[in-house]
Amino acid sequence: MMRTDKKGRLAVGLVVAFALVTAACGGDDDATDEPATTDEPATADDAAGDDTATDEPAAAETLTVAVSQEPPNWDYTKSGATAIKTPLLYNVVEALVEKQSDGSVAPMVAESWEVSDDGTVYTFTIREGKFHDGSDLDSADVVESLEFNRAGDGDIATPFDAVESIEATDDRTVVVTLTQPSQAFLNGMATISSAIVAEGTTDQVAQGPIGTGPYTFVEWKPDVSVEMSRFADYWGDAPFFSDVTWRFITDETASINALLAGDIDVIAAILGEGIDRVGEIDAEDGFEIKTIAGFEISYLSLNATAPEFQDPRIVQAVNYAIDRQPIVDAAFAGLGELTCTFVNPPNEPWASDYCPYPYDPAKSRELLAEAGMEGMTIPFKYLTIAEFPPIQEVVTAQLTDAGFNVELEGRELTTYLDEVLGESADYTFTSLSGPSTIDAWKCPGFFTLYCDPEFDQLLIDGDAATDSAVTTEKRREAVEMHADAGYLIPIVAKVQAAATRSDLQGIKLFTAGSEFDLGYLSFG
Amino acid sequence: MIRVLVRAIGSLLISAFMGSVVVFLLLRMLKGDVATVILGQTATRESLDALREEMGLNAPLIQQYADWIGGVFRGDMGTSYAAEFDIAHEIWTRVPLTFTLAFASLTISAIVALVVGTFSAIHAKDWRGTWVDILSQIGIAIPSFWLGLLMVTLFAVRLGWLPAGGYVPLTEDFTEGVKSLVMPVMALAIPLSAVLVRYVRSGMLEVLDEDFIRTAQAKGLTLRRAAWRHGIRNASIPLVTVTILQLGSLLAGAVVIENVFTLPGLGRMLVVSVGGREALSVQSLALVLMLMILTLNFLMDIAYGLLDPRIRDSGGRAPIT
Repeated sequence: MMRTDKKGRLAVGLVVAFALVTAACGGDDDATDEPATTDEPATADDAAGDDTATDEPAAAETLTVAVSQEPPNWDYTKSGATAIKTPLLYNVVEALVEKQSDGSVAPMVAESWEVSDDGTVYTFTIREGKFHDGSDLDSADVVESLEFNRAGDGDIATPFDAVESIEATDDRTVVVTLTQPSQAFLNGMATISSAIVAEGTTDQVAQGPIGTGPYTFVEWKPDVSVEMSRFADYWGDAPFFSDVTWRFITDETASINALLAGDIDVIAAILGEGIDRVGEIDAEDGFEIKTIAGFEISYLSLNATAPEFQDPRIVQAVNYAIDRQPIVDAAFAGLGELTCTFVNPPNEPWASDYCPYPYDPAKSRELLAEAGMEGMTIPFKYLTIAEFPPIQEVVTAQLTDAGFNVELEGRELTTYLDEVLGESADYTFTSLSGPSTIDAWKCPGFFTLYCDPEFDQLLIDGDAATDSAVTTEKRREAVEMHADAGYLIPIVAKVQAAATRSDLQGIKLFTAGSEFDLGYLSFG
Repeated sequence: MIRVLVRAIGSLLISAFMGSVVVFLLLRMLKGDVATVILGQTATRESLDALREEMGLNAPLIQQYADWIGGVFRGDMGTSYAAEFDIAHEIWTRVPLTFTLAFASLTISAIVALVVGTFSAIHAKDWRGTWVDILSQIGIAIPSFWLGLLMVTLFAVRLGWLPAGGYVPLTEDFTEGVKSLVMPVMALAIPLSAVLVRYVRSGMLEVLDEDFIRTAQAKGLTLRRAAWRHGIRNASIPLVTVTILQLGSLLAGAVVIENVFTLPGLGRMLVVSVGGREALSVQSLALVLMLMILTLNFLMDIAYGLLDPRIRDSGGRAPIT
């Protein structure tokens, strides 16, 4: 009796234990039903629902683009992150004007514009068009959007520095008055700074803006994708692809594999560890690498207030110790143009091949000895993601070779942002890259904390000049002065490597503001 | 029995609560917050302060914790700071994927382990047993993310049989859904099977020495039949324990595998939320995961009470192996 009883219990116990496993499996099937139904993209209906009846101009082709970064949200007035601009700009939201490959500007939301002779009054004529929510585009939308962007944080507001007022004089006309002429203003109007959204929808920008672009923002699945679909009432030519999926694949090994396996059509930009496989992709049948002129510069930064860098000889010694080519080979697969000045794209008129401190480790050692600081320690705070670890390795070797002792401090992204770019520039030496123009380094010198009123004045004079030749000359002078100071060591004018199916045509080989323009793409 | 139950539920709730406090504090100790992440390179002291005020990050810690845990008791885990999604709903939509991953690989490895482990115990003294031994050693040594990458290269890139990553919910398209799960499940199941095989093998070897096996053989059964009919049940007990205990590490492994295969599960949500300093999401996720694992352990305790009266009488603590 005893024995069977025990056996019975044993059996019950086993059944319970396995029921746990199976119940959990079964339960999860039920669970899958629910989210799937609640996940239906409801937002799409408002935008595209009533328009689907109009005749479709092109076939229902779909495109899947991989991007390696996902922004916290889509509010471009809070963050200048490339991850926001790449999918949105020119696709969902359009700017007042569009920048062309030759640097000229073409109409976009503004169908035409006039500039007063003294360069301080811009009169934009707004085209007739519709927003994705069905409302009509008029000057009130433009004024509200520009004011919204002008009040934004950081780079987005910079082009508005000289703006005095933005007014709608009638339904189709917007007049922008400047306090002084500004070259930065019209250039800025081709970027996210003049992104136009429907009146009264600025509070929805973080969740997906309502713009006038060829694609509507259909659904954002955090950590998975953003879905866009062709906007039937678009004022311009209908784009080739009816639906576009932007997939967030943070691991570049995974995105490259997905490309080679045919799951995705293009990777908008390879930024990190995937750069080592650029050659492999290019050699693969049916795939290729397109290099897109960028406007980011990869650089090293010295904290001008750090006790280590109070002697200019030491700053120069660091500069002489850096050999740019090996850095670019290690971190960017050799892509991009080496530079000693902070100008990108390299075809800007004020670009300069000035290089005050060419690679010279002997000179570096000499200067260190002169300052009596041989073997001095430099703490190097670096980001542990993307191209920064390989940059750190090469730079550390070069500095060590020149007689410095490098102390490494690796940081994860958010910690780094807080320490280096946060409130107190808590670092001595670091490596970063950014889209900023030379203007970003005006006093207080962003996070280099380098401050020179003479440098600032050159930029101010340059921006205010009505003669573009004067602008060019002043800016070049400023760029060279900044290189002389040596607190910012530009390494390379970066290019973007897009990896794509060979039959995908129309990838724009330049950008106005980090956009990945879907409008020109097609399968050829 | 009731006393055991009450005590177990009590300790479960206390552990979960203490865990949530620890996670809350750890997260506040990390540098940078969600305002730093949103504003990125363009942050200024003023913009950071304004955003923190707007998001309630300047409130005292105790108040922040109280607000959150109060919400949890009302079934509201709050809204994520930046993306503004409902956290409870987001977790709920991701549970099916991570659970499918975990339980599919658990079930497969348990079955594989039972069959292969028994086989190897019966053949412990000949070459077949040795082969299983070698293979399971290799299986234990292979990290699952690496196995995942190898499989992607072969089955997705070279052969094109399976997608390289991504996830299609089973309810949306069953075939595609299964295809998207095959490699992740295998990447988790193979190393796990290798571990479990060794438990079954040693358990079975012990059982095969027992009197009742000899009795069964004396009654005319071959060793193999005796092992399958009488041995396997007894050898299963430690397997069940170990399998359930592996669940915790399996969920941790899912974090890595979800990254390799870009699957939107709980693991990726955890990684992304920590990177984005989404404090409320991390706390809520940690609480949910802790509750899940604690609940399973709790049910195991009860199962043990049923399996073995001695455990029940001594207060409900199950032996580990």
